[in-house]
Amino acid sequence: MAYSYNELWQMLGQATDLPYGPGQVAALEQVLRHTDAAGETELAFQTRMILTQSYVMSGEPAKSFVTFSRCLAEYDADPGLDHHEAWSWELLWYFKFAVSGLLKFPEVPLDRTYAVLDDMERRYREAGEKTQAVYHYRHLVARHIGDDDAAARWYERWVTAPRDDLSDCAGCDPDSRMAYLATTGRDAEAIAVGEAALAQKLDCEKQPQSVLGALMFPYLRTGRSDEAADAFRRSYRGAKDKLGEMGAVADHIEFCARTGNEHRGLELLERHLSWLPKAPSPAAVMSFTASGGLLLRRLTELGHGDAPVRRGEETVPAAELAAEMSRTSRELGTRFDARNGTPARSAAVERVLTAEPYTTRAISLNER
Amino acid sequence: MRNTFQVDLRGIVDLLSHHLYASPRVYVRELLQNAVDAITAVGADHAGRVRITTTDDLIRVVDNGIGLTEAQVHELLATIGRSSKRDELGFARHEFLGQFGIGLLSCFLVADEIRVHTQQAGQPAVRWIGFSDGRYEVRPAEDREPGTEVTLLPRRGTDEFRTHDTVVHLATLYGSLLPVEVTVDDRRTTTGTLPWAGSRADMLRYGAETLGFTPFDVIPLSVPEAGLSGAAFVLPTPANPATRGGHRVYLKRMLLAESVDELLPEWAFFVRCVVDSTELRPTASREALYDDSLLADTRDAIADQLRGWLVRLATVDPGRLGDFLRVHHLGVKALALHDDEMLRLVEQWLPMETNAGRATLAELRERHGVVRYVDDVDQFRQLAAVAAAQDMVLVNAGYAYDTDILSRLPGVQRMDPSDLATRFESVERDAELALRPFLAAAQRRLDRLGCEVLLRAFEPSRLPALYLVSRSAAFGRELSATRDKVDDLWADVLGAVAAAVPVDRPQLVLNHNNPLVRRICGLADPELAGLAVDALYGQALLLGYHPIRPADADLLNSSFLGLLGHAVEGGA
Repeated sequence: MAYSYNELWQMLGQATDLPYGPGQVAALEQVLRHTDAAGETELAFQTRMILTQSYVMSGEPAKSFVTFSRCLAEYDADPGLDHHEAWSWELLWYFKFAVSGLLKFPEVPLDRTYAVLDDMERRYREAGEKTQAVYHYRHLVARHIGDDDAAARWYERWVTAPRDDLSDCAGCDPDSRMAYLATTGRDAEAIAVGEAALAQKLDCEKQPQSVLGALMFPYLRTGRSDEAADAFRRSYRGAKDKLGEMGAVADHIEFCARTGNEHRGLELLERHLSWLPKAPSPAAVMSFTASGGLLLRRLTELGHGDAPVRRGEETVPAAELAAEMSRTSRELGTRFDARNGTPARSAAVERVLTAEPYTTRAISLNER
Repeated sequence: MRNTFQVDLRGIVDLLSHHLYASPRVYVRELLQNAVDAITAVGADHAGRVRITTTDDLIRVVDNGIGLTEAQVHELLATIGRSSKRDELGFARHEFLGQFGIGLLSCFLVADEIRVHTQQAGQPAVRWIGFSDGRYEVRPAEDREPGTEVTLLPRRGTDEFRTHDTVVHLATLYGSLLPVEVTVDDRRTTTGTLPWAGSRADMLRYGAETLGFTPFDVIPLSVPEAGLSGAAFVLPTPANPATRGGHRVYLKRMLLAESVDELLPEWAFFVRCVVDSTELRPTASREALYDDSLLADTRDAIADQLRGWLVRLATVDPGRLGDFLRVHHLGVKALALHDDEMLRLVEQWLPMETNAGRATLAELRERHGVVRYVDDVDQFRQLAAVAAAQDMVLVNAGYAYDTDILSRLPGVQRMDPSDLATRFESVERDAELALRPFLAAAQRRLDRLGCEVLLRAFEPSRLPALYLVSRSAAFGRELSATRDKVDDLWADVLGAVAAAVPVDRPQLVLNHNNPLVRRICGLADPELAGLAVDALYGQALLLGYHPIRPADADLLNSSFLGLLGHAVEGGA
């Protein structure tokens, strides 16, 4: 079945307009099969570029490495082609997807991620010394492997560098800062950064729910529980239908487990258990099973270890699933640590699994 | 007394005109707002009126509001003098005087000189004259009735904004719903009533006149915590989900904007709303809504009311719901992506394309138990007939949103093409073993195309072979093609990814029920058998609407010519 250039172009346009998710991915893959078969290299390049972002946002980052590296190779072979030049900014932007994506797969050696970071830096510098995002992503890698000194150093470089058109958006950049501030005990600062971000008009697929998600725990720890509950509700609403946000949903489950809302947490866990077999990455599975392990441990401690949890067609007792999820998260932590040569991921998993409630009294999550 | 602003007034005017407002035309709204605020300050039963007169060389706005004292005039100027940034202007607006002052200064968008003559009951009258270069004067003035008169002396190059017609148009646009009497050159521009306060017929007429379409239906809206009332007008024709049309929002009965899109969730592109709110906050420019949690709650409340309308329609008037869905199925599907109630509505009422005709998901589930779907139109074409022959109902989910909706439903399975082969019967053991040499040769032949050969027995028997590409096979093919093209760094990465993600190969399933296939399996001439396998492969690609890659085209070509050669020799 052969389509004309115009038909393919139109199909690509329609697929691009769809929301991120399995439907868009299927539609774009269909276009790609036909553009490849028809030898329409220019359309195929554009389709792979659009697919790269769609894979990331739809929760299939592993596939984005394939389309991205293909586009990169084609671009490098002849950067001057019109359709290459037209997409050169996006190509640079996608390096950020690549770096954060590669970290999430323990199968990918760390030195490959550093090599991609170096390539990213070279290209960002060539594009006009646009290093803000480079420092940001170097910081993320340092944070991931638990190199605290390097993380602090890169953080400083990152937040003092001028913003440019390759910086993460006005919501995502502060969002990422907040995560660091919150894990280093700087909750007040995290809140200030987050509230400043929310005061702006954010136009991003991930926002404002991601900034709100990053505010939940700092609010909670500084005694602002109403605002924490509000942030929980609004950020969960924005994340609950997106497989790509599985890590965020893990945070929501942890939030429930630590605010006396174990029953609500169980509702979330059940709703999202079906995501596990199609999880975006091992890192997402690790976060999700750690939060799930914590929640189910809490339920067991509260005397509900035999509460039935629905998983597809079967039902598992909470205590049994607690053991299973804890085991999975620990195994993944160990695999990441083996890759990284540091104990950071296991330690992070352990912190979640053994976490205790922040509050003695339950916080109401109901709408006011 | 002569005074000068503490900050450069030109700077403020510049800030207003270039950074705050989209167009100088807002000066009419600002003057009306000032007048209405002053009238409101007198008391609830005060019969307010605002008279605007336009002449060639001035515009005059007179209200019977509370008026200002001399101290207030000084204070308001100081308030805005402190505001040098957009955010501070927004903040200053929270107070009556700040609001008044910013509203006044916006007049410099169209005026070089502004004269204000004002008097509060029991206080001396004041005259204030401001110039756009930063000077102003405040002095005692002759008595007048309590209230304020603002006179604008034109700024060159802005004539179009001050004509009678433009001012009538703008006063009507912004202020037609205001609870006071507004006239422009003695022509009344206020209607005094809210359009949704009238009968259904009135609302339908309002829709046609103001929004430009005769609505399919009108849904009343009410959100008490936002002091919001209004109506949602359902579009009679399909709306494009990508172009999210805006909504007409009034704040305290003054028009904020004609196309506010933050008021409704994205999926609500099948309605246009007209609402008035007393509690929602405008941004500093008064051209959009401030995105706070009250707006978020309001958005949710309106969404609930739209959903409620749909659900009610489904119970009381399914026929009309059918009419609605024929026009707005895309909108409802978009909604079903995030909303469980809409998901059930789609399941119950929206017919889907299947290989057994059109049917709703609920019907399919009742008849067949499990519902299976494929996620693109090509796959549907490839598999519809074969699946039907296996008594398998297949939904074509290749249209916008279908895949995402179906993946949200329990008991619905995405069918991977390779699942189909698992439903075919195996060939009897001894028969298949006897065919091993042929199958091995066929496999060697198709290895270069990255394809796996299987032998199965399935219906329809007229179909000699079926070519199936699973998702992971498609990914595997893309992965291996890419590994050959990228540099070492990425080849390493892709190698690691390949180890992490399961990858399989496309399958060519030969049909043992097909007489021709049986004869090909028994061919003694290995070359002829090879050509026949190539031809079966090519035919399966064509029959299944698969894309033909250059390598496939070469193979089709060579097998055709080879078979032709054999036919000619055999005939000779």
